Amino acid sequence: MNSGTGEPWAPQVTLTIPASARYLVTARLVTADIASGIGMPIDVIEDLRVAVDEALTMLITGLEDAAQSTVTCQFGTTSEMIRVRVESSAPVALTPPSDGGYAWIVLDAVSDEFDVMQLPNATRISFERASVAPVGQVGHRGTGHTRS
Amino acid sequence: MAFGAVDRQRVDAILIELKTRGPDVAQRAALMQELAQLHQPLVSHVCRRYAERGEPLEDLTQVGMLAFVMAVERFDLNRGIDFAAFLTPTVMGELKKYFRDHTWAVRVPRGLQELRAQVAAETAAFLHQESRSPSVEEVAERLGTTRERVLEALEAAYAYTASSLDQPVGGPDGPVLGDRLVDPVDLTVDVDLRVSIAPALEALPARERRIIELRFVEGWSQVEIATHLGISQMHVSRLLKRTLEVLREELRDVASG
Repeated sequence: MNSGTGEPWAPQVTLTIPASARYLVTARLVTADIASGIGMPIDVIEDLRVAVDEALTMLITGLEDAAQSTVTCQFGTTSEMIRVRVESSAPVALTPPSDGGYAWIVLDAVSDEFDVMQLPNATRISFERASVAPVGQVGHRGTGHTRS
Repeated sequence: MAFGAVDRQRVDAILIELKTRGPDVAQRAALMQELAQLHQPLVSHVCRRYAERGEPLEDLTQVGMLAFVMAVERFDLNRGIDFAAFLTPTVMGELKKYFRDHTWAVRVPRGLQELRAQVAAETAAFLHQESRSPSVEEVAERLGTTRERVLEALEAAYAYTASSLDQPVGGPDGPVLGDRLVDPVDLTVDVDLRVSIAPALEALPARERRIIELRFVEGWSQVEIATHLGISQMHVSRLLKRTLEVLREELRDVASG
């Protein structure tokens, strides 16, 4: 985690929503739709919904003036992976992932890589997730759910 | 930020105690209890992410705490990762499995069909009463569900067809979908007691314990367990019933002691 994938990518879909919990549904549905568009398995889509929810919730609850703010979600896909960037319209003070906050633990669990960046006028959380779990590990790595 | 964090040092100390020193059953239960209390907020946090699908949060938290017990058993101190980082995907995996096996395999296809029908009926009734078409939110409110569920139901109307419970899964001679239904016997105990179940399970003979694990942790059907162990399904049923009675007795003792 926290390595920052470096290479720039251009979003295919950009969604800006008011900084309100009410619009989490919108973001989750859009995420699910984009992920299903590249044929991601339901389990991965589930993870991505959770990831988007978690990242947006951190930004929204952390914004000082949420009523006047927005958050923007950007999505980029290849045939094998999805990249997501969520950014608040104003900076948000977040505890660093190394402090072990629940939201970061969850984001770490559901993404292949994630990163948080403080920009001059915004806070950005980005993550990516491959479409296919490694062979023999249906669902999620590390949980050993495959049946013999 | 109001996001909590787990006391890692204490967690590590407890895990080392549990994994290396092999404390007796009473100490073990006390350590598990403390470990459970330390992780309950994280488990609840994860469960809340899944709580908008019409399943009560308490049910999900029980699934989550059962996953916690599994995670403690499977956790390997030598891997050098945080227990919380190991626990979280375990909990999510179990929640997904819960939705898939307990709601997905049975309820979702049928449930979404039903919801789709209910949405249609409610829309018609609303139109009749209010002389206008309802919002998704209004329909959701009337049906006691969420906007997202209604949207999913609308989406799902195109995507799903109802699955028959007699539909074979895993090959033409395999068990049928109905076998994956939960048994009517369930371990209706509170979260603390679920945690106390670990020592009780350990006291069981190996085969009985394995059957319980396969049934309730792995979610296998009785038929699958019977095939796997080379015994009859009736036998599995009897063993399960007897073992659950033993466990209930033990848990009653825990509850009253």
